[in-house]
Amino acid sequence: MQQTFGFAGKILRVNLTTGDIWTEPTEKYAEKFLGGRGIGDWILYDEVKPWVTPFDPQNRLIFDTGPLVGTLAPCSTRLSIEAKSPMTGGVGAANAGGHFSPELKFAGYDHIVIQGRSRKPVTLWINDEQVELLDASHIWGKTTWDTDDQIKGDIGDDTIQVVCIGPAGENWVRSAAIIANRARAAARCSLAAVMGAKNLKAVTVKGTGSLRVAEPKPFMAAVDHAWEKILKSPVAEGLIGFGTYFMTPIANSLGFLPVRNFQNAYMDPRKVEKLAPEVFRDEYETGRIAGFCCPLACSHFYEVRHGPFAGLKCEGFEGNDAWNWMARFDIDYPPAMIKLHGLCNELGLDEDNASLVIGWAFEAYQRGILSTKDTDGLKLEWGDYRVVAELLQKLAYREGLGDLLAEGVKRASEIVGKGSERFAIHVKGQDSVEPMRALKAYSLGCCVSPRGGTHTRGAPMVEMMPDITDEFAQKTWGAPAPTGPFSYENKVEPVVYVERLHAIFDSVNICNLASMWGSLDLLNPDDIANLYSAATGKHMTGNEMMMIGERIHNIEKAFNTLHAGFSRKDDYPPRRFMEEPIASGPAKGERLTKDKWDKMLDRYYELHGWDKETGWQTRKCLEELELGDIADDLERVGRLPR
Amino acid sequence: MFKVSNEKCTGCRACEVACSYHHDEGIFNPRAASLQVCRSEKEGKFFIILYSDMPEEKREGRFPCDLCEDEPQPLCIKHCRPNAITVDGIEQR
Repeated sequence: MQQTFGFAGKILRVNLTTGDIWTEPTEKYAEKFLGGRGIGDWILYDEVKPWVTPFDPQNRLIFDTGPLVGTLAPCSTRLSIEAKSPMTGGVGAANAGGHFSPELKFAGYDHIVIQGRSRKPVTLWINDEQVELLDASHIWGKTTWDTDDQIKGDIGDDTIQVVCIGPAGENWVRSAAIIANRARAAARCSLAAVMGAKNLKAVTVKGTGSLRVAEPKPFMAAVDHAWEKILKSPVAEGLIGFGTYFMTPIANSLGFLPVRNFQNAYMDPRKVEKLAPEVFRDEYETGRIAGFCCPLACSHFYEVRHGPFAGLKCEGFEGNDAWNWMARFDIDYPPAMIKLHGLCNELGLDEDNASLVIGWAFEAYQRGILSTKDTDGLKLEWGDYRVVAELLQKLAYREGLGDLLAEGVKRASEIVGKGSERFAIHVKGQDSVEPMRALKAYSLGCCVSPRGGTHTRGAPMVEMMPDITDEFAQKTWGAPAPTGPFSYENKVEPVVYVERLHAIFDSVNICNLASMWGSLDLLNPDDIANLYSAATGKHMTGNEMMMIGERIHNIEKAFNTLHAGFSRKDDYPPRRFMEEPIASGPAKGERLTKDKWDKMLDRYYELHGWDKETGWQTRKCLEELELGDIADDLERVGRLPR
Repeated sequence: MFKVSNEKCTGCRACEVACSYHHDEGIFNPRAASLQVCRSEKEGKFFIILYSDMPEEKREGRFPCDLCEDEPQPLCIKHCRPNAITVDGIEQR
């Protein structure tokens, strides 16, 4: 076989219906789609037809490493996963850190593409070249933590890597997550439910092989430069000290918290103080945990020694947990934060989406739309973390009210009705945890994301960076610097830039937290291009990479147009964010207004070369991206504007 | 002599990856490294095994440590940001 550089060289293919297992070379996809999410998106587009439903055996479940994973490039740790989304019927994508992705590469595979449905529960066991499906009847029903223990015990090796689903994925819960390393969640879009529908409990891998880079000395020079850049950045200090949770007090100061299901966006700072990052560091943290080759180690390990959760030990959380438990439920008891986070990982839930839909139920209860007759006798009162924990359990097992909540907030609110749709926060049917309204570019990025409401596509952080110069902004994304966090001026260009940036980071599978997304002094497209070029021997500039990023984004967009029929009307914010201004705090009065949103959307479509009236792609833009076949597909169904 | 502080280790395994590169330029393979990071994700604890301290038959085919003789400092130390690995007389850059 031809020597490959950077890549492992093979894609592992598994048909769970027939039990067939085979490989194909990665090469045929790599030049056009880069790697990781780029290749995964293309395989999804190419092989899943619009009439296939998310739980259909014909849906694909695709696990991606990337060309830099497993090398000494910093934060070269991420696992991307794609499938048709059970939430939206459009593109589904999620991403996790941990150590599974490099292990898969050391076993010799860049991707795993799973199709079909097994008759009985199985695990996929990859031991380098030897790949087999193993009976998982004795593991089905177990939590992700017990599954991890059981599989490592069965194989007799605790250095192997496991990704698995818990009860939530088994029960096709639409807020389920695939969990790696007990705590690293590939969360959004409920790809775990797709895995459950395939009767695939886990993928286990042991890799003992080598990865080779094409140009060792230039590669190590690029590695040194990247490491140094990350460690010099002031953001590194925050991440090393507190993880992404360091953002919590800043979030409150920007009207950036989903208080009581977004009824406000600002909390009494004294409450926030009770759950300050320092509280967790000083009273609960026992150590830090890093993903593969990550110098930041932004994850922290917690132990609870007193109170109702005494004895609990688990890997800690992200900034999102300030949204999910502190703000959404008005919880002010630190161990409850650790417990609810840990419980979601154990049950295999996407904690953002699980929290979102339960938060909606709390508001419905507050407004008398739901009563104790609907909630199995539970009183859904703000601040009561015990009820939240109880509902997480019901959600994962689809018991009682949990069966309704397991459908996600859009479907649940349509079933319940009575005006509850007004405070069901979703974009394109994907539950959205992001506090919009105050920050306009961020809000736009969340709403135009192809995978539905999410901040890890085009939502930039630039509105939180007051020091950006016009010169830098012009040079980087071709517009002056944004004028303040709450304005609409110069906000669209960074969204398109960050869409492309995320697409390339997700496709070489370096963590987005190491990218200039969070701090402009972190890794930029040129840094990734230098690493990629030396690793693979295929030389590329940062601008060429960003062009591939645009291509990847366009594949996802086209998948949505074909499969879900999304158009301009699906790129608007949830109603609450347009109708109800923020009630208090520094962003008091902020909301998203239709006329200004329309202007942002026009500009957004213009920058992509898409049609303003429909929001759809044009033949010209697709052909420029060498995606003429996609233009033909769209034209055939009448979704290619002339 | 190498000194290891398991309490400082964050389990990132960059030391293993860097070590394997030193022994075979252009190649990354942590399982060939002269040291190994064992991760206990249940306890949030890590410990580092130094194969250089072991007789050859216990090294499991791993490269023997030569303290990265051609480098200004051993690559495992250079890439250990939490300073969990040190060697007498060699400071982290």
